[in-house]
Amino acid sequence: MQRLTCDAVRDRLPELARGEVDQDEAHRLRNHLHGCGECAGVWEIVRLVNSAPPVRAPEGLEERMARAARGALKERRGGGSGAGADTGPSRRRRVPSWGLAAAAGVVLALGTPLLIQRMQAPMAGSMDSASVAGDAVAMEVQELLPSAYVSDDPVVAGAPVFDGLSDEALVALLEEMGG
Amino acid sequence: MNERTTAESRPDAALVARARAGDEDALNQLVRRHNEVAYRVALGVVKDPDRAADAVQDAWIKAVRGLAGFRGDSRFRTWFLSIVVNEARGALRRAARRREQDLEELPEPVSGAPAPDRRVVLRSEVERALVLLDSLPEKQRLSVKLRLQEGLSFREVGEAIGSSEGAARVNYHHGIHRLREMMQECND
Repeated sequence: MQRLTCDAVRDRLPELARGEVDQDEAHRLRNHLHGCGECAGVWEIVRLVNSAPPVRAPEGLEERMARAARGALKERRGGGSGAGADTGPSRRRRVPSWGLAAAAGVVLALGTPLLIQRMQAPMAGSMDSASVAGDAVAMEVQELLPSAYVSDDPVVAGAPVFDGLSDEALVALLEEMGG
Repeated sequence: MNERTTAESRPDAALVARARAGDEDALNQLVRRHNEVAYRVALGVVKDPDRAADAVQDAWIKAVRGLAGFRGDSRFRTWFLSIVVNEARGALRRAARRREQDLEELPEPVSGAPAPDRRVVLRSEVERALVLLDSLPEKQRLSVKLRLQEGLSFREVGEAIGSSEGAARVNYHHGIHRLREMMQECND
């Protein structure tokens, strides 16, 4: 039979204390405890704690809990609040489903034109000076170097992307731009 | 342990299904089965009988509301105790915030054993062990109590206190080791 390790023995001591091991295992565990002072010390603690009488809940607590639980069950069924239920912030305002649909419709109706307007307009009123300058540079670069990729997005246009430009072309660009 | 777990789980599973369908009698039976251990566990966290009772009540309400989400992967007791521990921890945090605001004194711990600061002669080693158990850090304390006093496996202890099975085992063994050291210091 395989020798029990201390870890394995200590893991099973609660079951031994509660009498939940069979005779064979109990015999092996006790044999180990007889020969191992450390495990015997642990067994003493386990036995002490396990022998303490269980703490009883106060009188009437079970009925109070059952009432609270039934109240929550009634609420779940949609029967309104039961006695003793909802000690916490649990009130829910019931919104009719048509109300949610109507609200969604209003958001779409108001928001969609605004979104389209932002997408189409050059954003002249909202662009800052850097963006406007960048747009002009992008157009100039595109005229000088048609092969250069320049973003159409006015927000990005301050920084055109030059993919595959040679050093000479880049220097020429910079001279043209006055840099 | 497995056989006991299975035997207990089957009736619980049936009660949960009936309670989920609105059967109040089934719910009453669940309360009857699990309320005592829930109270002890909550008391182990908050160390105050009134707060423990409130935490357990909140836990029952949450459990009933969340019954649809209980998948039955674990025992009902384990699942419910994890809710109890969370509610108890929340109660403890709120109490700590109130104490900071009100400058109240800490409540005397009550867990079936005399408070450590009372000048009483502890008549038995059991009493001494319980007092010292209450002085352990929360996860060690709960791991020892749930394992020794409530008979949960390490996996179930981990689920209840929100840690892995391995961490629950480590917390348990550290708790026992520390308890043993403190008992020896008392005897010296």
